Amino acid sequence: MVPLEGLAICSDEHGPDDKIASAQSIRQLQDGLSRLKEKHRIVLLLREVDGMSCEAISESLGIPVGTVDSRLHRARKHLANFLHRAELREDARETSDHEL
Amino acid sequence: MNCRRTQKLLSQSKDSRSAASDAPAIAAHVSACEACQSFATSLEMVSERLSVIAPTAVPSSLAKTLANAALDAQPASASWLPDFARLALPTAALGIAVAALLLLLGSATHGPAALASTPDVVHASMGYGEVLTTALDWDGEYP
Repeated sequence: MVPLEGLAICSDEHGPDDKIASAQSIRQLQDGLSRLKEKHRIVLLLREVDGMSCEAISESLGIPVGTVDSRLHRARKHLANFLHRAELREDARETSDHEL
Repeated sequence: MNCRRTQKLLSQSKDSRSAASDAPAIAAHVSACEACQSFATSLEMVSERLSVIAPTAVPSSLAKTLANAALDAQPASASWLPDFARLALPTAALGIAVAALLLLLGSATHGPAALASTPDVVHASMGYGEVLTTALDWDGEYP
C-alpha cells in the first residue's frame, strides 16, 4: 500500500489565494487517489511520480506489461473523472457562496 | 476505430506504448470526437496534477530491512517431502484423531462401562445373555 499521507508535495504557491487553491487541489488529488483500487494506484504512482517505465513496473510487480497498460488506463480514467467531478462541485459551491 | 479503443491507445501513447502505425487513426478519431478530445485533455490534467507529488527515495537501510522481512516471512517448506506426502501426513493425522474420538465415544455409550453405569439393571453375576436381555428390556433414559 502506498501511504497517501506520506507523499511529498511540491508546491510553488505564493499568496494566500494560491495557498488555498493549492491546498484544495492537493486534497482533491489525495481523495481521488485514495478512491482508486490499490493495484491501480500503485501502478499510476510508479509511472507518473517515480517515472518508471511500464516494462520496469511489470518486472518489479511480476505482472504482464499489458496488465500494467490496462491498470494505468483505468487509473487515469477514474482519477480524471473524479477530479472533474470534484472541480464541478467546487465551482458550484463557490457560485452559491458568492450568491449568498 | 471506436472511442474505447482510441482512449486506451491515447493512454498507452502517454507511456510510449502505442504503435506508431496507430497514430494517424488516433489523430483522425480524436479530431472528430469531442469525448476523446476531452479524454486526451483529462490525461494531461491528471499528469499535471500528479506532478506536484515528489518521488520519495526509500532509504537503503529501510529497503534492506524490508527485503529481509520479506525473506523471513516466506513459509519454511519441507523440501525433503514430495508434494503428495505433505498433503497425506496431515490428512492421516486427522483420520487417526477422528477414529480415536469415535472409539472413545463408542466405548462410553455401548461398552461394558456404559452398561454397568445403568443402575439396578446390570449386575456382575449376570451372564452375557442376561445382560443383553436386560439391556433390551430396559426402558430407562439413555445416559
